[in-house]
Amino acid sequence: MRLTEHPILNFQERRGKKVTIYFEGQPIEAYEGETIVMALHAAGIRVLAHTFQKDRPRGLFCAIGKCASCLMTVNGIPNVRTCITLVEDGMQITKQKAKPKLPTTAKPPKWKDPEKIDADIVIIGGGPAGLMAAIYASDAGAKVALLDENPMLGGQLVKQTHKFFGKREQFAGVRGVKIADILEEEVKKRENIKVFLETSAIALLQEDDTKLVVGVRKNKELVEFRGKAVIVATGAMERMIPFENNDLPGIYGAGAIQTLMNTYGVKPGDRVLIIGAGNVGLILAYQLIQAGVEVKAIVEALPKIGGYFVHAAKVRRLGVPILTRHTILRAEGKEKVERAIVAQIDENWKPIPGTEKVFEVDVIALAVGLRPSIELLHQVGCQIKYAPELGGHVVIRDKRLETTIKGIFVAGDSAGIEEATTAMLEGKIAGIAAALSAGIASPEWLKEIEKAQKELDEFRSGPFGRKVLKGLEKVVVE
Amino acid sequence: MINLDKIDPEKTFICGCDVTLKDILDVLDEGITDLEIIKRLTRVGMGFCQGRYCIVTAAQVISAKTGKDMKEIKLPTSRIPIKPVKIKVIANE
Amino acid sequence: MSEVTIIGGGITGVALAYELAKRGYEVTVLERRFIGSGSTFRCGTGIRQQFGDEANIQVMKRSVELWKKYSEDFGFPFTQSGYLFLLYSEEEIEDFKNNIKLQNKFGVPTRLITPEEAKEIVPLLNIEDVLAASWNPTDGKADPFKATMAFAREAKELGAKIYEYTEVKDIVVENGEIKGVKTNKGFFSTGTVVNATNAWAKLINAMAEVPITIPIEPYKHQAIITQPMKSGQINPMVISFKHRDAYLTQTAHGGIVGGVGLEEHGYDLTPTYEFLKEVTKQFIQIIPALKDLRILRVWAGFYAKTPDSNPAIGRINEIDEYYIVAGFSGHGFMMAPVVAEGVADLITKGKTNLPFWWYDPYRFERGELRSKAIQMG
Repeated sequence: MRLTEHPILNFQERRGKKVTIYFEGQPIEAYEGETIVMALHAAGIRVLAHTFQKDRPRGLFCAIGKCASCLMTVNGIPNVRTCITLVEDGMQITKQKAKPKLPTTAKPPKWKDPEKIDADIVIIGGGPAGLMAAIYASDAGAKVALLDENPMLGGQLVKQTHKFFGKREQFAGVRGVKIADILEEEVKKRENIKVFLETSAIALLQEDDTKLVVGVRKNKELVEFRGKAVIVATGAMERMIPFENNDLPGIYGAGAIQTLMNTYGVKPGDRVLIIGAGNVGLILAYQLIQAGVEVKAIVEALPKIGGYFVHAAKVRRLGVPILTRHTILRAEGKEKVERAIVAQIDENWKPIPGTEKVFEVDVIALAVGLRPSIELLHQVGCQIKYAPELGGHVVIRDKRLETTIKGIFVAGDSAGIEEATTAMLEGKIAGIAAALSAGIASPEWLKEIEKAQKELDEFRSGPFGRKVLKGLEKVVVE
Repeated sequence: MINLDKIDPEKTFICGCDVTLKDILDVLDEGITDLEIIKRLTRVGMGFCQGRYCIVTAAQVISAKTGKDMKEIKLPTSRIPIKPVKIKVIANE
Repeated sequence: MSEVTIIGGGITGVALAYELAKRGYEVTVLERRFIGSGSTFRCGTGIRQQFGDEANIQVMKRSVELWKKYSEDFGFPFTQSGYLFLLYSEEEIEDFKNNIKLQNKFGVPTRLITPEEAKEIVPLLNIEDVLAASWNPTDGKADPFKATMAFAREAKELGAKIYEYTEVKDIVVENGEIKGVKTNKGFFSTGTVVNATNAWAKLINAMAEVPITIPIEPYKHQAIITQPMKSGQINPMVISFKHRDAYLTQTAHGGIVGGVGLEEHGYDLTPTYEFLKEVTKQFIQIIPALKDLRILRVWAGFYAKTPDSNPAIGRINEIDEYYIVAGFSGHGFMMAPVVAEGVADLITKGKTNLPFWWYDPYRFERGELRSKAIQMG
């Protein structure tokens, strides 16, 4: 179902031209600019595939092209990530039923060398960190190539309907979606930034003094991006937790639900149970209610709520119970979620018998934390360290966000889970630092780095920054 | 922290590619506790998501069952291509 | 105190531990990382008898018998799905005709087949330039993870001790007699050391001050695995020397595993973009339909090469008791069961019925190189 009314967002205005796609031969209404899975979901199609070995149904999970839950056959091509592939009029979409059988008559393809793009700085990820990095690197004089595997810029900002905290220059009081628009405009204004959407980085390599990022554009073209420096701003991934039937369609990462309703105006379901009472879980509850979806409860394993008090208070006022010291034991349902069973847990996280509660829901939202997307950095050989305060495994870097490999920088959630505000500040620092390291920026830009570092310190000085600072102590080196 | 109690390990999935909690627990029961080996015997982390969503959960199960600290469990190396890439894309057909 | 200490917990080391434990020996395996981590878990899974000399053919024939036996006894996957060498020139065909004659002499049923027959075996093949193929249906492949872990499990059940993350720092030899092995986890006292470290063999030999030259050098060899496809589409190991020594087959899970011979000397195992492109370029010529599969990852393992591509296996007479069992370049996995059996006999009885003289570690010193073994896959 599509959302027609929303207190903040106007989808009517945002939706593109109406087109028709076909699911298993049946026509479905879709809009240009939306991804396949969003159109399917709007038409009530939750089951996208069945697994090869155990025939388990699969539905959307991450919505950002990182998990493998949404693979379908599109126009005859198997294994297409339908959550990051845009609809096209007449597209034929089918479920994958079995491992592929290859044709025996195929001819060897012609070999062609890939397209080559040269820049001073290659930035991977067009979220808050990557966008700010691009803007500042460009202002410092660098030629920038900015890649993102999604069909639009903004990263997670495009789904954030709440107003930001902080200072005025950090967009306080502005909603995330609006910030994304502002940053995108700024990027577009700059001629020395070239943006490559629907482009996945598949390798980060060192070639003497240059860095090579191998990208795949629109699933079909190989592109080689070369630069003197690279900034990895690839964001984060949702965590999974073990419980029975945790693979059923209808169990979504919190971010996927935000993508559904806030980016594409698709109602994720009717009744939702949220797992995790950190800021993501709390904000999600509020946004769901805004979109007219019932939130049955928020379940939190810790003895107290992890998110900001203001968010929790708002959610409670709206009548959503927050069950601390509870965990989910199982999801039930045939092809998709029909209910969830939770139980209270003791100090050792063991479920207490007799405390089970049943929630009749069709969506279970997992907001149990994020972990940094470090795959490229890990692959190229940056040193990794485990810092649970930052969401798990992160790279070691210095104060200017340069990793243990010279010329490779990190910024935003891929450097450690924080907030969009800190991601933007880190992006600014990394952008300038990369331009300095490439020998392009003049030394005056150091002042801008210092300024951003000071703002970061201020932002992290609150009670919620304490945990982050503890994590940073482990991974930031001189 | 994760809870592994009061759930049926055969119906609890660690990896979207049909690897269950039971598959992991069975290998642990044999006395094999190394994530690198568990990965290869159960195939957790070897599928299309390339370990993004399952390898850390598997590490948490090992940690919960063996008492090994998460920081002692090394993540298996991330290898090129970090997103599955079609052979014909590399050939630029 | 252990009677025999094996350095190296690859399949050779753990299979040897099993054979020795079975013979009642107290045996210890020291592995620098985890079992299989050196090269076994990185291998191409193939097991073949199609060699070009009498010794290797006989040895591998016995190995296949053992693979069959142990896979049944221990319960790990091994299938005799054959090896198919694609031949593209008259010269190659002549060479293979000679090999086949030799293989047939020892009861290995290899035969020369037509390109059309090859396409019947692997319907996905592009046989456009293929002139003939050398086909032995009794060659095969095994799951390196399950096989290695099975040998380790069985060895332990018979009392063998396997220490992982235990790195050998020095070997203590006094008056030509081994006293023990120093490691990062302490001292292991022992009377016999077996160097089963393959790619690292020269480093361990140096620790024991082996007085003869055994040239074994590490080379990086890379491989790929693709997304799974329906089983049964590429059953045998397919090999083409014409395509940069390409080898490929389908795993039990359905993915295509394989590589090309783009080798690099040294201990670095970083997968390269160059390889990714090269393997693609070659594979799509051999099996064009692969173009629609996705590569999931590239990794690398070692070939531990000797000048004649045959391993060095035997006792070092000057050190009481030191054995070298290394120098496998792509054939270590397939040979492991027979090497374990033969070396266990050497250690316990002083001799083996297998033609291990061919692998004599002194041959390099004497300048008696063997005919080059076919080293791939």
